[in-house]
Amino acid sequence: MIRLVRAEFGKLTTTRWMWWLLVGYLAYAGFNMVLLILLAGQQGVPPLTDPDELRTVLASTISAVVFPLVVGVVLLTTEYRNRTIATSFLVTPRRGRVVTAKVVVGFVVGLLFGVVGVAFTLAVTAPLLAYKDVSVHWAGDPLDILGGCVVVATLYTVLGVGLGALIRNQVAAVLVAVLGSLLVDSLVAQFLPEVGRYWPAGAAGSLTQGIPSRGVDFLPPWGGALVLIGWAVTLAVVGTFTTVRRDVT
Amino acid sequence: MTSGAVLAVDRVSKSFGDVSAVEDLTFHADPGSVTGFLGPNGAGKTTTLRMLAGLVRPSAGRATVGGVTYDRLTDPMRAVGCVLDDTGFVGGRTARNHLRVVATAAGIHHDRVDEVVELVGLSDSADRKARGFSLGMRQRLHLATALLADPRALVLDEPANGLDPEGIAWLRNLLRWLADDGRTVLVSSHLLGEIAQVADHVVVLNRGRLVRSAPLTELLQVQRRTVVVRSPRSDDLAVALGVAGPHLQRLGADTLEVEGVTAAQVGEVALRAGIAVHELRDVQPDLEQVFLGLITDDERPVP
Repeated sequence: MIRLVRAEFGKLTTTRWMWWLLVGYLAYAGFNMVLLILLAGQQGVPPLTDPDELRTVLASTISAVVFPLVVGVVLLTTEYRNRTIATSFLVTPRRGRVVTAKVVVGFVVGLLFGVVGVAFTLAVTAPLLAYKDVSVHWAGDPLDILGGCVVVATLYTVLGVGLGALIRNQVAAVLVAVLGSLLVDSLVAQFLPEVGRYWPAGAAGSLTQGIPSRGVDFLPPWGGALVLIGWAVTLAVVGTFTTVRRDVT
Repeated sequence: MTSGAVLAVDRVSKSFGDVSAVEDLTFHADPGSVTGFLGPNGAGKTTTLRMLAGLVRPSAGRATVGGVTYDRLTDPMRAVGCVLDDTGFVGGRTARNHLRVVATAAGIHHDRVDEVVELVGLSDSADRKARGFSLGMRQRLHLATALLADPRALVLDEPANGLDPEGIAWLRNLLRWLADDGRTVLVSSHLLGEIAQVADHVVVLNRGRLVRSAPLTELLQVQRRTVVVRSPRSDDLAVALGVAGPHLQRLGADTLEVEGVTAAQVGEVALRAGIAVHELRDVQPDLEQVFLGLITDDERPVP
């Protein structure tokens, strides 16, 4: 298993697509941070002294969580798109092990996205908040939020691997990931909050209390983490016993 | 010497939805020899080879390597190396990195990567990205991947596709060498001529069913032997030979094709009859005719 995971990291480091998605992730989140800070306190937007507003700013990477999600999806579906999956299954005929190795790699890559995302958040927001004369007590609430952001990025990447195991067509899987996370997820969270908190976006919200926080009854953070793990494991297991087992022709 | 692993297909059937690709197929490929797997396009060759490689699950029957199905092999890359058509490479990855990734997953030392790169003649291109590879270079890279673990058997699906004549000759020598070293080699083609020079045994498939499994020499004996002779007195020669009807064919004003005799016999008869001969030759067995004959016999409706 260890050599399989090492081989998966080899696949990742000999190509560049992951780094482009990391750049997209940071750019999108950074754009949101700057915009939120600049608009705060204007035209009915709460000021940055409002704890909810500050949470939203610090959890900006959550708005870009589709990027780590897509990284997870691509980790698996790229093998079908490039038709390298046959070689992978020739080396490792027990296909569940291939999926497991991808899950491990997804976890590590997701952690990387989360940690880099938080470092980037601090680098962008700290000077801007100081410039706006907003004093932040970093050790309290903000630390929880930033920690939650790392957990969400990590688990969303694993969730993406599960989605890729279920839908092997890359275009379809990425489309489901993008529409699912940007549209369906937030609609459910908004209109069916009771169901929504068991959806990935609701679970992510409980971990960060960021978007959408106001008026939503979230699970406790550990509950949110469990919900995300549950989604990821369920998709990966169902995918392994259905899609992944299919003939490679 | 390497101890080869028997590749066996035992009463295997496979259908995709309503379409039957392979029906009740049984044959095996033995160590130490090259087995040619022949059939027209769409005969089910690729599906059969993919079932041996564990990529396609048979609807019935078993395809095994050394007695076990592919998914039960403890060290699959060591048991059998597969070159299957249309498996891809990541365009942005170099050939060497592709091989290193596979070697890592299979627990093979990276020194071996340099060896197989050398073996398939890719030394000069190993650090180039696979995106720019020609079909022939891709085939060589596939072959290098298959040979990484020094397998006991080889399964190759149309490996000559995309190779130039020089490449095909090189491939034949390589397959011969691998078989002579004790390995089992199963290689598919839709052209008998392509593998006749290297195959010891031939398995012919048509419409998913076995048509023939026989040593190549036996298959070639099926062919009628004929002699072509050109003479200004061809009519007299025909009389002297004492042949007529279906055994004699007129190819031109002065040319005959005679069945059931050798060139030497025709020469003797012509000399004794005092007939000048301008051309006299044995017709080599036409491999594609043998192959097509088998296929059309198979397709003839049963009365």
